[in-house]
Amino acid sequence: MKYSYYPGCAQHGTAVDYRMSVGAVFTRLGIELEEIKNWNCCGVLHVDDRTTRVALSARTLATSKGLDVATPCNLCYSNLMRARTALEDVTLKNRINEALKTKYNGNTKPKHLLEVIVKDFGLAKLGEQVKKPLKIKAVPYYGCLLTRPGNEFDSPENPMSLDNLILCLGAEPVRYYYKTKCCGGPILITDEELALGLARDILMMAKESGADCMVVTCPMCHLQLDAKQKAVEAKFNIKIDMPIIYFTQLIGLAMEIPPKELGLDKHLVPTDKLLASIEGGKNAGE
Amino acid sequence: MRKETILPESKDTAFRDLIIKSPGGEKIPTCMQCGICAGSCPVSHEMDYTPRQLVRMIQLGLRKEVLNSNTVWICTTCFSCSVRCPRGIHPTELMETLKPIAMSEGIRNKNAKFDNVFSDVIKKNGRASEFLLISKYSLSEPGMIKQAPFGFSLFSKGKLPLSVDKMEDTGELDAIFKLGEKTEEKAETKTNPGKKETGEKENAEPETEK
Amino acid sequence: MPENEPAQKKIGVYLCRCGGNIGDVIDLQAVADSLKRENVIVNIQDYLCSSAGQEKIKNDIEKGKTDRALIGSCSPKLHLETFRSMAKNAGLNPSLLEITNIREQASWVHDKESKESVNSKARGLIKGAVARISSIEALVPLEKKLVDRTLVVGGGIAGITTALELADGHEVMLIEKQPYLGGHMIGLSKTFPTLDCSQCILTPKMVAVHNHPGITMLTQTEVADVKGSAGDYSITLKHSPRYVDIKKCISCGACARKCPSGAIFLPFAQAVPQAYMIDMSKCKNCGACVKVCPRDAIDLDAKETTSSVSVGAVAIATGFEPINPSFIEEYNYPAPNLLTAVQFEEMLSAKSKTGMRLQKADGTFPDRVAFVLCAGSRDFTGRGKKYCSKVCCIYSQKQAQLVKKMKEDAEAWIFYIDMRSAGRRFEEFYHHTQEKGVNYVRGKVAEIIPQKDSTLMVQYEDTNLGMKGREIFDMVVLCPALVPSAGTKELADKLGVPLGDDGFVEEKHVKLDPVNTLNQSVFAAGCVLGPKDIHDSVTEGISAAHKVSQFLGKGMILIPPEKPMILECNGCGDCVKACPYNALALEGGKAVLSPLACTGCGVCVPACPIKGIEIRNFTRNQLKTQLKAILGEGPGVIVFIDPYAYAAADIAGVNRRQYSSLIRFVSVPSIHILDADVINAAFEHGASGVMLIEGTTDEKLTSRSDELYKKLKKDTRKHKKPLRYSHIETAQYEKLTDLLNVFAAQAGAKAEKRSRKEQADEKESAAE
Ligand SMILES: Cc1cc2nc3c(=O)[nH]c(=O)nc-3n(C[C@H](O)[C@H](O)[C@H](O)COP(=O)(O)OP(=O)(O)OC[C@H]3O[C@@H](n4cnc5c(N)ncnc54)[C@H](O)[C@@H]3O)c2cc1C
Ligand code: SF4
Ligand code: SF4
Ligand code: SF4
Ligand code: SF4
Repeated sequence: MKYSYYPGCAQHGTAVDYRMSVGAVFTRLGIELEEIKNWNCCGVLHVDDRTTRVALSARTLATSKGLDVATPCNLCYSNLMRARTALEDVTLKNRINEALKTKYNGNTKPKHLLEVIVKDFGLAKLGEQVKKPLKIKAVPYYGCLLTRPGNEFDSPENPMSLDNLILCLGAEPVRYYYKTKCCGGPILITDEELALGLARDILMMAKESGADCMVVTCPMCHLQLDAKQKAVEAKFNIKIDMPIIYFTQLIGLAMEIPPKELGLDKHLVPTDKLLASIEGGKNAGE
Repeated sequence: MRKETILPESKDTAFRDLIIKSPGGEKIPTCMQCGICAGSCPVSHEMDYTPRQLVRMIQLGLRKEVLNSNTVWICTTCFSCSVRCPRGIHPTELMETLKPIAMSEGIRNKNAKFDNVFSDVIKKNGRASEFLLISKYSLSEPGMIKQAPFGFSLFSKGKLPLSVDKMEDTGELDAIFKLGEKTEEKAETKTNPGKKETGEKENAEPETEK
Repeated sequence: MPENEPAQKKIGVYLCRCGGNIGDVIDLQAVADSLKRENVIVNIQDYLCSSAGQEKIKNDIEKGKTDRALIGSCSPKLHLETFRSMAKNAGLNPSLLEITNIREQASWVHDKESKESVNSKARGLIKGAVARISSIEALVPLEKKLVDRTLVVGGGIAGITTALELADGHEVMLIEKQPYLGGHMIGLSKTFPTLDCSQCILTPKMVAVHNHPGITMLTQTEVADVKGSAGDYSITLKHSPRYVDIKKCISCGACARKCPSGAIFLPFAQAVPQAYMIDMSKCKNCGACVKVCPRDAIDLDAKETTSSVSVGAVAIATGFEPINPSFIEEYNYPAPNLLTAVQFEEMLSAKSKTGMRLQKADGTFPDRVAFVLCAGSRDFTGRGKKYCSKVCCIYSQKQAQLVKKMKEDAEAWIFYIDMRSAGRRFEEFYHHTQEKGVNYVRGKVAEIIPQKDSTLMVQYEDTNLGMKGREIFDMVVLCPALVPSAGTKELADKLGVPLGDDGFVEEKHVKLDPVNTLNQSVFAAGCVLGPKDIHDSVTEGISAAHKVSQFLGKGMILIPPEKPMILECNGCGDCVKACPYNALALEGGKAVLSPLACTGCGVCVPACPIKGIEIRNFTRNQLKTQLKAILGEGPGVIVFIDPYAYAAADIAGVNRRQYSSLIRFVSVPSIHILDADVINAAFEHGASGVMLIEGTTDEKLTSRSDELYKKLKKDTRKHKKPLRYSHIETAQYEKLTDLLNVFAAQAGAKAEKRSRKEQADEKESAAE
């Protein structure tokens, strides 16, 4: 199995932990991710001109050497998917192709890493790799952009792929009604107060569910829910203390990859209690 | 914002038609004002007009109200509205259509500023580095200094590299960003002719967000 | 004009402007001019269907100016019968009057095309029709005796009404899928707008059905198979076992008292028929009930059985069912205390399992109840149903009133988009509900989130205020879209009745023939024709009974005379084997037809190896003449279309669905009458492509279509032009026009390529 890999800007910045765990897990699973050379930012939600933004993603898809484009980020994924739909318009496609060195031809498909694992690799095969079933309760949090708008790979309201993944790793996905609610990430910088309020709702719901951790699929969600969790606690005067784990880290733990190699020490919300309960108390604090 | 009487001259049909013709806009005339968009929106309570009201104003062509409302800037692009609208309207796409038009008409607020900084960084480097972005944005938003401790906590975990991430070859970016300039020009020439004198005067001094 | 020559046919062509509907688009004068050399008289009128218009044709016939009439107007489905009965009165054999459709199939559907292309199409269609009408023979419809018995399918209020209204004059059989009569109405609490108790007004009717000597009532019964044809059906019924003989059981309940597993029970106290039944999934087969039953009514070994009944007419009254709202994922149905309105009603009805008490999952009364309207209705995204379900606005107000009545300080909230309370007594009902203190919120509920304590959080926008709101309720009632009962499609297919694109039975005419279907011996009433209240269901039940009685009253049914004629026969029997309806037999070494069994499907035509069989008025030569004339006015795509698909084209026309003006429909009784001779002729006369569009749902025919298509494709290959087969049901008019456009474009592109190649070839040979 081989994909063109589009890491997205965060992998080179705040999401170093995500990058480490992707590397550790995918190598062991034998899924080859070949990073696209000279890749560009997808424009996130801040390059306001639509044509430019579609063009940025068109370039990514065009330079993938005919392989499907795997990406770890919900935002990148959503942008790539939307661009693919927009590029069905032939006039737009031709206009954009004028600006591109390698022309977009519509032959490659974007895939989120979660989709790669759950659909292409398959949970049955993944199950065989589980060395240590994780006897914990986990909140499956997909974020708003993984399945929207209408990204066909899972439902935009009540997706199940991450639930199923958690189950496959021996953990219990809790019933969580905020699966696809917005974490506030996109407005964090410009409207922090509002953004923290959204994060609070999501974190409080997770807390109430009695879970040991929350599983995410996007570096922006992670930044908002992990790095900003303290700020949420301070602002609303509450205690949350909820470890936020990338799904790749969760897979890694079930495969008994050392937590350090998965970047679990790089979180702002400490993960040692969680690791301890996974280890049955042995490795607490490592 | 003070509300005004809707008069025949407040309706800019050229503006309305432009929006309806833009991607995802064709179904706007079928909005039945059910409000599921606004009810689903995580941030509609902060908007001066809810997404539903924005759609309604487009139906009427209330250009000034639409372009001056804070709605498009508060939207987090979560698509909750779009996936639930029973008429297949995409308020999210609408927000994205309106942003560049508002900016080309001189709307400047912190969101617009951030988007500008962001676009500039991407245009130059091809990639976004958090540190570079924040420092540039802080120049125009001094309040950002409060974020310093947060930045430090990231830095201490190795999560905020101070180096600038850059494409090895940024050759194509100019052409890509030029595509956008063309679209913006088009938008302007299309709405302006239909504009009434009064509209133009008011827009010379656009109301910025508080 | 050689007027004294008796063999000369005097064809009158009458073109209708239809106000401007046709006249504004098609240059009718030019059409008339193009017929100058055809030796016909032409007349153009504003409205041919008006009495003045009809009078003109009648006069021409009576004065001997016309002995064959061709009308160019709206679809024959609308006025053919009217015109033909006028012709008959004027002394002309009705089969010598035909209509060519230049409205639904031309002036309404080619907005995007050049005027000239629409005009040339119209000229072609009319010329083709002139050629056809001069070639046909006068036929007399066959008469068949009607069976004076009606099958009413569905024992809800609509079916009950139809049965009772009919039964004094005609024999009726009423079948019901459930073990009891009453449909949804027996599961209602009070009924709007008067709030009388549902079972109080319904029970007498159910008992009347049970006791009526003219009605045979069968529960747990469905239609398994339909044989025969209009007016004379033989229907196979399937009966699921009840394990208790209804006629013997006296409802003493001795059995239930002995049963160790609660498997034998009376559905509910007022159920008609009054008899116990067994739920086999619970039964332990211990036989305790059998031993104790004083009437020997129980048979644990009962099996599904079938029976057969012959009927002349069928009334479909299979009603509706609520859509399962779990597809609206943001509402998180099912969850404790989150119910559908139907479940809410049942709790307070004869079928109640809570002793007619409104209660939450924990048995207590809900103090705060929300009603969520339009759950799955008015949705144009394909997720829900496009239409408004009509009754929910009113029944939810009824339910809210009941909540307030049961507990004055309870809260009832109604979340609506538009409060639809039109009709007599309904605005007063709305006003009264407001007076009772029910809280109305204008806004479609955005999401419902179940809480830990089994309450429900409802999030919405109050659109009157432009403010988002969140509210906690003890109970939330979803008002789901109402859809046709499961199995409606299968039943309709068996009876040859088309459905609309919403899945409800299509009326013969939306406004003017609301309880007739497109099959003359099948009628419909109640919610199977679309969501409605009891009042309207009853009105339709009465109407349907009247229509059935009118139909049966004639005693005879006219059947179309377009049947096969056996011109030559070598006794090979191929046609006998081919006929799907056993209408042919070999007698004395020759094939003989029984016309009443024959449906005119035409399968025998291509089956005969010596081309000895032709369908009257659709012979190979007649079709070829028509094709030649149509294509003489410029190239086009020939589309052979059967009557069911023709109805889809009509709906496309009414909805102004645009398609290529290259399309030329040629109406045939069934596509199975076609063989390669006819298709090749179309190609030879210049058709750039040929399509066969079939709409019938009769499996006896559709199961042969693939083979027919393959054979035709092979036998017409030499022309290298596209041929395509497609199955389009009446409801699929959108698919139809999409298909026509794609095919026309394909055929056009191919034709262009061909002509370019030919030109090149010519140049080449010229150069040589
Ligand atoms: C929640 C709710 C509340 C309502 N409240 C009111 C009210 O207060 N007042 C009012 O006027 N109206 C009310 N209505 C509307 C009312 O229920 C309908 O108008 C009425 O029930 C329609 O009757 P029907 O016979 O057409 O259909 P149904 O009641 O659906 O009856 C159809 C019958 O056909 C049977 N059937 C289905 N398929 C087959 C088959 N293939 N073979 C044999 N049998 C079959 C079914 O089992 C059923 O018994 C309400 C509707 C709902 C959903
Ligand atoms: S959800 Fe759609 S139809 Fe409803 S108010 Fe919003 S835009 Fe209009
Ligand atoms: S996309 Fe924007 S407007 Fe729509 S629900 Fe999300 S935040 Fe609100
Ligand atoms: S009747 Fe009322 S609640 Fe029902 S679908 Fe129509 S508008 Fe919605
Ligand atoms: S037309 Fe059809 S039904 Fe009639 S005899 Fe021929 S094959 Fe049989």
